[in-house]
Amino acid sequence: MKLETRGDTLRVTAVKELGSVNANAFRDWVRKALTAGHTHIEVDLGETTFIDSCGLGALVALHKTACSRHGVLRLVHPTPSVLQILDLTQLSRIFEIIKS
Amino acid sequence: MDPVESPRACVLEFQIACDLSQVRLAAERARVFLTEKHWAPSGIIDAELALVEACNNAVQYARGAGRELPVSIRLALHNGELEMEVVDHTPGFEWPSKAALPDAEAESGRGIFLIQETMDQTQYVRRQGENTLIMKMSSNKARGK
Repeated sequence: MKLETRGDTLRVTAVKELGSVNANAFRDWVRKALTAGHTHIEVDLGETTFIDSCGLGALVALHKTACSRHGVLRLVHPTPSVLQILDLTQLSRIFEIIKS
Repeated sequence: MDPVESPRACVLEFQIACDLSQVRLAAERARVFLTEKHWAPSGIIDAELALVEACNNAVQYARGAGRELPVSIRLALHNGELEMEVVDHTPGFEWPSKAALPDAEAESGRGIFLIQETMDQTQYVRRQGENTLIMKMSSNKARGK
């Protein structure tokens, strides 16, 4: 996974999987990377082949982190299977999702 | 335990250590098995998710001596139906007839919901020191019909 800053957004890319093994570490890693200049968090899910409920929990945690900064969590280009799970769990209602 | 596959009955049985790092390996084995048996791709995705969620729970809620025991997994394809079993060594819990989603801002609590949404039938059999989650999916559901 990679991190970069674009203006006031911390962008995460190359996310292959978000599951029980790496979800908490992912959440903590992103949170640690946030600086005072970051308002929004953007996670590119274009390469994400798998996400489970632990991965969803990490995204919810980052959503709350972004909200605490008066920003948003954007999920960019989620793969069809990931989008299906976001819809199924109604989390597509609270995340800002940018589709391909 | 090396996976045991019975060609005639289309059964795959294996065990994983009670360790989260093994759960994705279990999912990989299941995916390969179902792909070889020509299960519908959308059904494979759903089955993989349900199996992962079941194994996550089996590992995360194991306590004491239960943490030293393996999690047993069985996949069986028969008459257009997939049946998956996950045997855990947790204290067990009340399986809801229909799990509700937690609050949108909850960071956990969606696992059982996902299992029930992706599978046609689920049953949780509790025994002393060992519990079995049985999950079934029809080939129609797998094909999205």
